[in-house]
Amino acid sequence: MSKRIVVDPITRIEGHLRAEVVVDDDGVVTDAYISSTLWRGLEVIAKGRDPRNVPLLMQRICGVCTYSHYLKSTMAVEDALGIKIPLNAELVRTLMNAALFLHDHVVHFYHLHGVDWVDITSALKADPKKASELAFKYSKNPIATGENDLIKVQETVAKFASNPQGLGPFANAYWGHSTYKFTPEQNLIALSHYLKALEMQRLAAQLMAIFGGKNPHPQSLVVGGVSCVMDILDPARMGEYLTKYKKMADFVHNAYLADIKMAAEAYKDEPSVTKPMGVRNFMAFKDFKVGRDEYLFDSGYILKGDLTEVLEINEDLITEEATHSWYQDDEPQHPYDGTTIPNHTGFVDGESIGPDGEMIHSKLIDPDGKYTWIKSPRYDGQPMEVGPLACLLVGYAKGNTIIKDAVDGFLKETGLPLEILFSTLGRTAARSLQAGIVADNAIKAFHNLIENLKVDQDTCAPYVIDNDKEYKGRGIGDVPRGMLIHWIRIKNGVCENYQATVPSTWNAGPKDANGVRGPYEADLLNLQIADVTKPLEIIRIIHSYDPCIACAVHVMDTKGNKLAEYKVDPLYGGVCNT
Amino acid sequence: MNTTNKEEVSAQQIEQEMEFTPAYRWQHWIRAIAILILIITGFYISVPFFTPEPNSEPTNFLQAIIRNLHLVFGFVMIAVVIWKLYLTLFAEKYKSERVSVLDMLNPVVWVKQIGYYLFMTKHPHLKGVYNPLQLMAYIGLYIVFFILIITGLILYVNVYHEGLGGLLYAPMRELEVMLGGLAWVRELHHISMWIVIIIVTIHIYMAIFNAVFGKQGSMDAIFSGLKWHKKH
Amino acid sequence: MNHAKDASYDALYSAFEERIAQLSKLSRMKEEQSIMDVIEEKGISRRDFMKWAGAITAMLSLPSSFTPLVADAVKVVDRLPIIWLHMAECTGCTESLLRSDAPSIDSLIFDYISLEYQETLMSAVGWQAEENLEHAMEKYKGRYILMVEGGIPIGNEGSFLTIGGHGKKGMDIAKDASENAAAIFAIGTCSAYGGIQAAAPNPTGSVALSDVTDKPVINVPGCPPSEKNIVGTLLHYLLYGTLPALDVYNRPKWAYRLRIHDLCERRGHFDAGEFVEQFGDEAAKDGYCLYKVGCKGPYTFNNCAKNKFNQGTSWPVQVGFGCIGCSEPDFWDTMGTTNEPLGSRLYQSVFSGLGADATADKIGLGLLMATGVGIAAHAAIAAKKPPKE
Repeated sequence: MSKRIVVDPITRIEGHLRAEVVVDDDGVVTDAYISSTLWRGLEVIAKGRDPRNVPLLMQRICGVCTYSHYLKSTMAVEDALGIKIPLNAELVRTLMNAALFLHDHVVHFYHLHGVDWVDITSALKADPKKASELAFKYSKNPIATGENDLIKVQETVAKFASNPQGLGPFANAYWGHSTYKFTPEQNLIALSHYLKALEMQRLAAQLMAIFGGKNPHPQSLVVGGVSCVMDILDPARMGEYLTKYKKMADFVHNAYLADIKMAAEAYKDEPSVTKPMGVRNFMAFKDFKVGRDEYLFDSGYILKGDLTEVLEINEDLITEEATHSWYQDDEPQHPYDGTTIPNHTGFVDGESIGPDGEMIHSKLIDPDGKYTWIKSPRYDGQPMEVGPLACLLVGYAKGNTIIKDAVDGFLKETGLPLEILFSTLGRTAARSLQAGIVADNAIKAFHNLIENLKVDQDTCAPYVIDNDKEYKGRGIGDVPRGMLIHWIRIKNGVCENYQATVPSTWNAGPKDANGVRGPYEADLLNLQIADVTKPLEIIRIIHSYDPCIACAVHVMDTKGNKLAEYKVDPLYGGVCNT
Repeated sequence: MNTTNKEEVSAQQIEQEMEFTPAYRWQHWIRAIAILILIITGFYISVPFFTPEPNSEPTNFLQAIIRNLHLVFGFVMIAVVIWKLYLTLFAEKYKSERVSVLDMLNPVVWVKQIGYYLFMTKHPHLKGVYNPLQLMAYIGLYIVFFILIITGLILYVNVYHEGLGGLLYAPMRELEVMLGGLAWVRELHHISMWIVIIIVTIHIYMAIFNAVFGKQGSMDAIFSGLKWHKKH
Repeated sequence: MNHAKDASYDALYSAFEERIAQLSKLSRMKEEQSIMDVIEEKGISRRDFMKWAGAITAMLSLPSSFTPLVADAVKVVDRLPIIWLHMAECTGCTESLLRSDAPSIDSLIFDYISLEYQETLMSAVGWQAEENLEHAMEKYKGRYILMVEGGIPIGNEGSFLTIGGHGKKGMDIAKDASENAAAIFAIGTCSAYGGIQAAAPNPTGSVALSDVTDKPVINVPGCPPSEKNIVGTLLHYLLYGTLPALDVYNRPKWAYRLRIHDLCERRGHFDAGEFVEQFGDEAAKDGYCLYKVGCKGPYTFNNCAKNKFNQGTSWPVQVGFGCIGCSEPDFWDTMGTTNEPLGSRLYQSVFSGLGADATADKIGLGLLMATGVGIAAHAAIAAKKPPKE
C-alpha cells in the first residue's frame, strides 16, 4: 500500500520548501510533489517606483544570491534605457560576480549540502594520521588536513557528540544513515573543510565587499555602471582583491574540488545519487564577461540529453502556467484581460509517515489541485533544468574549451563516464567544476580591467529617463543557480511592470497542465528510500539543485503566455493588456 | 501708492489712523525677510543647486554656512511667531484682531466677503480688522508655521546634541516617531514650505488688490503704520 | 559632563558585575566545559580573546575598563539557547550572521550559543527539524532567546506562509515562540518593521514581529544588519540582563543612537558644500559627499560608518553609493528615489500613472502656477469690472 512521506521544512536552503512523495511497500517513490510555502509578491511592490530603485528592491528577493538579482535587474533597466555601460564597470561587475560564485558554491556544498554527504559522527572513528595522508590522494596541497588540525577537529566534535545539548544545529539529523558512503577518514577530511569553509566564506564575502561595500546585499551597482570608482583607482584596494581571490581560488581547488573527487569515488555506486535524472533538457545563457568580447559561459539549450546539438534560445518561447500553483487560473481565450490573483487552497488533511514510522495526521498536498506558490515555467512546452550542470553541458556541447577541459579532466581523474553527469552526483560535481572554472579564469577580468584603466577611467555612463517615453528591456545571464532573466517596462518615468524568471522556478515548479513534471519532481520518481522515517535520499537530491525558494516564487503570467508581455496587476499581479 | 486711488478727497475730509503699531510692523517685516531667506536656504539644503569651485583645500564651508543661516533665521522665525502670537492673543492694542473671530462666525459676512471678491456684492462691514477669509488664511499660515517649527526642531536636535538640542532631544525624537521617521519629517518640512509660498503669494496679491480697490486700502500702512479714512 | 559620565559608568559597571555574578550562579546548560576550554581548544590564546573583548567593548561605546567584564560575560554566554525563526525573508540576515568574525569566534558562537533551531544551518530536516523546535521551546521555556528573521505575513489569515508537516502558519509559529522567550530580537528590517514585503501596496499584509506579539521586542534593523550589530546585541543583552537601552524605535542605542551622517567619513565635504553630481565624475574620484546622488545618511540611524561591514572591509558610502536608509521603518516608501536627494521623492498619483514623476517641488510649483493663473484672472476681471463699493 502506498504511503505518503512529508518533508517540511526542508532546511539548509534559502526559503520555505516542502517535498512530498508517495512510496510503495518497498520504499520506492511512485509520485512526488514539491511545494513552496511562502509568497511575498515583490514584483507587485516594484510597480510605480523609480526604475533606479528597482534593482535594490529586486536584490531583496534573495540574500543568498544577493548579487544575482541586483545585477540582472540593473542590466534590465540599462537594456530598457539603451545604456551601454563602460568596460571598466562591466569588468568590476564580473569581479563581484566571481566573488559571488566562489562564495555561493562553497557555502552551498559545505554548509547547506555538505551534511547530506558527510556523516559528522562517523568522523570521530577516523584515524587522523591516515586521514591526513589520504587527503593527498585528492589534492597535492590539501588544506586544513594536517594531522594536528584533524585531531583538533575530532576533539571538538567528540565533545559535541558526548553532550546531547551541545549538538545544537547538528542535533537530530540522519546520522548513521545507510547511504552515507564516506569512510570515517573521508568524513573527517570533509568535516575539517566544513569548519574551514566557515572562515573562507567570510573571505569571499570580503572579496565582494571590496567593490560592493558590503555583503550580503552589496550596494555599488548603479544604472549606467558602478559607483566604486575610488576603490577601482586605489592600487592597494586592487591588491587586496587579488590576494583574497587567490586564497579563495586555492581553497576551491585544494578543498572543494578535492572533496568532490573524493565524493565521486565514494558515491559512484550509490544508486540514490547516480540514478538517472528525470528531466534531461538543459538551458543556460552566456555570462561572465572577462574581456571586451570574452565570456566564460555560453548560451543555448539541449533536449533529451543530446549533447550533439545545442539549440538557440528564443526568449519569446518562455512561458509559465499555474495549473497546480496557488494563483487563479485565467481563461485561455482571454489571455490579456484576466488577472492572476493569489488563490491559496492550502493543504488537505491526511496521514503520512511520522518520525517514528507510525502514520500520523498531517496536512497533505492534494496532487490534483493547487499545491505550491511556484509556477511551472516551460520553454516551448518543455521543462528545463537550469544551473551549473546546464551551464557546463551547454558549454561542453558547444565545444567551449575551458569547460571541456574542466569536465574531461574531472571524468578522467575519477574514471567516471560522461553519463554520470546526468545524475545527482553529476549535478553536485558540476557546481564545483563551475567554481573551479571561475577560480581559474575570472582573474582575466582583473587583468583586463588594469589594462583598460591605463587608457580609460570611465565607470558610469550618463543617461536620461524621458518621462514621455515607454521603455522595455531585460537583463539575462547565468547566475550561480542557473539562468536568470529580469524584465522591466518603464512608463511615465516609473516602473510600469516587472517580471523575473528565476532558476529555482524552472527546477522546482510543479506539474503543468499536461501532467509534465519539473526537474525536482521528475528526479524523485523511482527513488529507492532506505528508511522511510529518514528520507535522506530525497534531501540529497533536492539540495543538489541548490534550492532558492524566495527567488522561485513570484507573481506573473497566465496560462502559457509570453513572459515578456506580462503586466502585473496593481494589487496582485494580474495581466493587463499591453 | 495712493495715486491710483480714484476717490478725490480733500485734506480736511480725511484723518489719520494708526493701523499697524511699530511692533506689528517690525515683526511683519522681520518675518517676511526670514521667510525669504529660509526659503532660499531651504531649497539649497534640499538640493544644493550650486557648489563652490572644487579645490584641494576645502575651506569654503558653503553648506555649513548656508545651513547656519537657515538655523539663525529659523530661530528668528520662532521668536517672531511667538511674539506675534502673544500680541494677538493678549495685547490690548490688538483687540480688533481677536474681534475678527466674531466676523468669522457670522455667515452673512462670509457670503458678502466671497461675493465681494467675486465682484458680486459690496464689502461687508467688519467688526474686527480681518475678514473671515483673511483670518482663515492667517490661522492656516500659523498652523503651517507650527508644523515647520516642530519639524525644524526635530531636524535640529538630530544635528546639534548639546544645549537646546540636548534639552529638546528626547521629546523631539518621540515626535519624530509619531510623524513617521526622520525622512517623513523632512518631507513635511518641505511640503509645508510650499504651502507658505502659496499663501504668501496670495497675501501679496490681496494686499495690492486692496490697495487698488479697497475703500481705505493702502499698502503703505504696513510701512508707515498709518492709514487714512474720511472724517465722519 | 565628564564627571556625570564617570558616575553613570560606575553604576553601570557594578550593575554588570552583579549581573554576571548572577548568571554564573545559574545552573549550566552544558556541564561539560567552560567557554575558556573551547577558546583554547579552538587555538585562540587568552591574549587574542581579550583583544576581541576589547574590540567588543569599544563597539558598545563603553570605556576600556569594561573589557574584563565583557570577557567574563562571554564566558557565561554558553548558557543561552537560541531559536532563530525564518518568516517572510530572503535569508540575508542569516548570511550576515555567518559573516561574524573576531578570532575564529564565529564557530565559537555557533557552538556555544546552542543554536537550537535555525533552518538555514541546522542538519535536521522535516519532522526531525520540527521536533528540535518543539523540544527547545519546551526545555528552555522562559530561557531561550528568540531571534526572528523576516516579516510576518498576516494577510489572508496568514496563509502566505506555512511551515512544517502540519501546515502551521508562520504567524502562529512566531507568536508561540515569542510566548516563552527570555528575550526577543527582531533581526533585520523585515522582522523589525515589516520590511520589503510590507512596502506599498503590501500584498501579503506583512507586519513587524512586534505587531503579532505583546512581548517586548528589541529591533535590530538593517537590510541586513551588520554582523556586529547582530552579535553585539546578543552580548549587550547579556551584560544588562534586561532589555538594552533602546531608542524610540526599540533599537539598541549603542548601535542606532546616531545618524549615518553624524559619523560619516565624507561629512567634511558635505559641510564644504562639495558634492558628487554624477556617479563616476571627478568629484566621485575625490570622495566628495554623496548627498546629491541620493545618500539618505541624514535620516538614517545606524553605526555603519563606524563598524562598517565584512570585518571593516567597506560600507556603502565608501564605495561611493551612499546610504539607502535601510534601518529605518518603511524606508522603501519614505526614502524616495535611491540616487536623488529626498526632495525628489515620488508621490504616486491616482490618475492611472499620469504624473507619476511628481515630487514635492513639482507639485508645489504646479500649485504655485495655478495660484498665479488665478491671481492674473482675478486681477484682469478687477481691472475691467472693479469690485462693488
